[in-house]
Amino acid sequence: MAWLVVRLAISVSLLYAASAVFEDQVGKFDWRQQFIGKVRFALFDTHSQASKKLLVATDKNVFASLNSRTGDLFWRHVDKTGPEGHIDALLMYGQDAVVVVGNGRLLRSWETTVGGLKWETVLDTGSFQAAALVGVQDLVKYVAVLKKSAISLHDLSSGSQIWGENLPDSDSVQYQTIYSGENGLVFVLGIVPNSHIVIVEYKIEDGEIMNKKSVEAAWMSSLESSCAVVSSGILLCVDQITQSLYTLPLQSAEQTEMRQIHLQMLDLEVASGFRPVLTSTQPNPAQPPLSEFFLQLSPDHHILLQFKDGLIALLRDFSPVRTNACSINLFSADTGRKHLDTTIIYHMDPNGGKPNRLYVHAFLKKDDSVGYRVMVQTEDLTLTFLQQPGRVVWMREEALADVVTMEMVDLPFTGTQAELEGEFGKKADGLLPMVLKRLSSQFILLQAWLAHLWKLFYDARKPRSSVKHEVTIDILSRDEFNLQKMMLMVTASGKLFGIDSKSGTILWKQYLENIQPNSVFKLIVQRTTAHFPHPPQCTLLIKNKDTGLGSLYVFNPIFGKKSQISVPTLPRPVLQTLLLPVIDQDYAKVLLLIDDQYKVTAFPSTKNVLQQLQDTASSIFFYLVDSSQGKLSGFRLRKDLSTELIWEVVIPTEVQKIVAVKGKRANEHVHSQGRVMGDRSVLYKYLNPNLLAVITESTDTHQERSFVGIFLIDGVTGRIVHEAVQRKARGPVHFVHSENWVVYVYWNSKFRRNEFSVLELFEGAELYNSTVFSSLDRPHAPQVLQQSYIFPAPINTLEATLTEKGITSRHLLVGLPSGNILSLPKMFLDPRRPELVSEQSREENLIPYAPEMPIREEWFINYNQTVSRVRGIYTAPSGLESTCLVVAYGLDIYQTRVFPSKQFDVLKDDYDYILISSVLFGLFFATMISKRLAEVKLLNRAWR
Amino acid sequence: MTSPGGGALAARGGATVKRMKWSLELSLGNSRNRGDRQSKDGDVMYPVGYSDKPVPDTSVQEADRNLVEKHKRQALVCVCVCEAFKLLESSSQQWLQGLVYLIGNLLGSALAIYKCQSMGLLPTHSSDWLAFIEPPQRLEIMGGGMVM
Repeated sequence: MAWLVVRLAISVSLLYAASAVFEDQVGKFDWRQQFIGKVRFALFDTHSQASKKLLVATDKNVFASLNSRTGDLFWRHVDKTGPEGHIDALLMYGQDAVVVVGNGRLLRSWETTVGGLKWETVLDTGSFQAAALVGVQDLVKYVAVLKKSAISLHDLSSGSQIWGENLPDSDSVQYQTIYSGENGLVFVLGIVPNSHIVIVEYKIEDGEIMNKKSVEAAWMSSLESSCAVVSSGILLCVDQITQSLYTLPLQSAEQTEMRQIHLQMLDLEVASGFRPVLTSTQPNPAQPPLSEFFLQLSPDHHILLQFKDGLIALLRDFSPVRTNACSINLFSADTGRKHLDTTIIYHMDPNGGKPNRLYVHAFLKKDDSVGYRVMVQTEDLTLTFLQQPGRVVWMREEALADVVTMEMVDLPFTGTQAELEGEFGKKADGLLPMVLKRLSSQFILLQAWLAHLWKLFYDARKPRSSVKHEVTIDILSRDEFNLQKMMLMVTASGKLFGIDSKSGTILWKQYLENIQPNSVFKLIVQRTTAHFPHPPQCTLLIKNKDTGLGSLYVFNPIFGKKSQISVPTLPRPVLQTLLLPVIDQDYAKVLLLIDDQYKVTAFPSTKNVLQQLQDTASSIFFYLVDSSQGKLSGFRLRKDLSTELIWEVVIPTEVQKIVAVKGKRANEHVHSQGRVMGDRSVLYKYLNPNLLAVITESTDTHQERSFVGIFLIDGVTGRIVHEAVQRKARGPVHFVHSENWVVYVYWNSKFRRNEFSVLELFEGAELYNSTVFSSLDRPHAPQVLQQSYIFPAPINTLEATLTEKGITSRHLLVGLPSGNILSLPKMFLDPRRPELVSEQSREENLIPYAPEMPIREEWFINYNQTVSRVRGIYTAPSGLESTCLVVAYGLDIYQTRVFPSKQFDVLKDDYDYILISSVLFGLFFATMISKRLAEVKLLNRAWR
Repeated sequence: MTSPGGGALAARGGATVKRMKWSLELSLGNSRNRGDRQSKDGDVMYPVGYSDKPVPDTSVQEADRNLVEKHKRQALVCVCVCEAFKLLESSSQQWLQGLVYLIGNLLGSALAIYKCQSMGLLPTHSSDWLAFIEPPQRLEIMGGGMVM
């Protein structure tokens, strides 16, 4: 028997041996785009003129190097998410980039050319305040890190700590900034709010306190926001209330009071209610900062000032200009004069946001004139790299690093295809006109084909490099098998993207302004492209978490244009939405919005729709899950669009809390209504379209008492169909609910491993009602089968493949933290896997039960194209039954196709057309010749 | 088939039992308009190359005849039973023989069905009809989710 099991296992493993991508298929139908996120620090590598590097650190805890010529990534390091990997500071000197990570937990030095780690030191505990490079005699040798109560100095080349000192009176004084001049001293500046400033001088060599003084500054509340060090060690502060600047030389021992300079003396005035900001620049850390500095007086009013011999002189006033195009000019810091021929006009994208940060790299050209490059970051997280004279070198859409939700929409037919389709839809108006119409449309198709041929011929003559395969919206049309689709992506920053799924080209983008950072989005496709000439229509529901109010944004998913349709205003907070299969006269599906008083708003709400809603109201149900109260409630729609509560299930929040609820996908088709047993009888599936899988986690997180619960609840009647509890388990739980099964993953805290569990529901050997399914008439409870498996890796996300008709076998797509996406056959997650192999189970092709789930490298659908921090996987059916489109998104976006049952409906890529056609032609000619010969022979014989 | 040539040949065919070289093609029905040529030639009854010599080798014609018979049989497969009974018409125990014929046929079919059954080729299990079950229609529309 054991031998049999082994043989079976081998044969099964052989079955799946060739499911990986072939080498020559790499990049053929898949693509990956890598992102970094919102840039927080960006530094140009200035140590050599030809350097193309641009170092960036972002809010996604990514530290990367960009090619400033192309915008591509040279290298990228993705740190842990959350505060643990947060990049606090980025300093650069020569080939070294020093990064402080995790609120002052680690100090790292990176080699910038290849991105290798030079050294890493663990810093003492304490919250991070500031870091600075410390130079001695024009050479930067050290890096100083200021914590809340300590300061440490590290060697730049090895990372070893030179000295570390506790700061005096650190419980009363808030030390905030650090400054090092050229004279072997490190100044630490602290403040006691609304009282005085503390300045401590340290000797670089051994950390000895050279001097400590306190200066009265009763008006000051924060050092960081109102002060800057300019020139050679002059502390400059600005006060909003007295409208004056204060100066203090850091080093002088005698001066113990700040000198006040009224802004009125400079004819300046701070805008009311605005907190003025000082900005100083220190181009070389081994030298003191420039004596010129910026003073911001209002949100868009900046002044360039100069500090010289204790006096402040105004160099230039940059007053606000209100236009649609921004221009960037280069000014000399010494004089405040504008450099000639340095204007770059920056055209703002009407669908984009306003620019909010500039990163400028100025350099001397060969002819000693000044040139510069600039990277502009806008509100919608677009990075635009501009070069003189106003040329956009590259653009990056960093909003895509944070995709919240997405959909895939079929592309429309071309005009000719649509005409041909439309022909069948029209009423017949006589035989002859129909024939003529058909002929004319065929003629148009022929014309289009000839034009296409001509274009091919024309392109073929040109050298390959000059032929651009650009994708534009105008030439977009559905392909033969509907494999190319439009990907709609909604990002957390409120920017929408339309991306061609074949190439990954961004075809349109739209920035929605005034989106709160914690908004919730729900994207709904109301009308697909199938209803020509009505344009497709998508609706985005944006809900503000703070106010609870929602708004609708209706747009055309193919062109990204905002629709002119009047949108209902939502005066009350929206709780949930429900897309009905009911369509209005324009073929748009009806969207119901449920507000906090359980009243329903329909969109669109034409008379026709309201009439239809009245007719079908009694069969429309919806459920709401309130996790904070642990309450699941079901409602039924009344004819007047109000609702009545029909059931309620309370899961006590003291014991467990609801973490997730999932129904089944609306576009899912199940081809087979049952499973064939070994004895050729049928075990019918329990395919309840109204079934909900509710996952709960225990509030007690102790490893002995924690548990994960799963409830299968009928969403119409509130009946609990099944419940299961996984003891000594905890989340995060990832799960998929599809067909008649639920697969969920949890952490087994007893055995310290991840486990998969599968629940499958069957009706039994007979169907209760094979024609209609009603949750209200289900007297028999389903049979539930369950099995669990060990999975040897943690999991980020889980999704199942989806195909057009549901004939193809299903695979589970598992996003692993390593960035790989595993395509796991559902066959392995089958609760009917027998422990002992029998004749019948072999007949059924059941794999014998093995507790361990294998991970095979060839099951990774994205080979080496890992997706960092994969957060979600989206699957969509294509026109081919064998093919499922997959998009994995996280920090990166990866698109590919998967074939769970191989390409059973497609000829192989290496199909030998030449051999087959030559054999066919050969046979054809052989038949012709032999026929002729036979005729001749017959005739000859007849003449004999 | 054109009438003059056909008529002439038919008359000739009726007159002489001997097989002519042309009879092959005519019996197949794909006339090469020899009749036309004949009629154009006017009074000449026999075309060029005709000889009265009988054809010694008739295997080709035999084969052709068989072919025609076969076609006919295929066409008349439905009336085959009637033909079988027609053959028995002369017999005195016509009904008994008919019954035996019927039983023999039934036994043959039963044997075939049994064979198919033992090989599992008959759709007698519920699993054989599984693919034809349409997905049931939904009576309720349901949706919703976590409170947003």
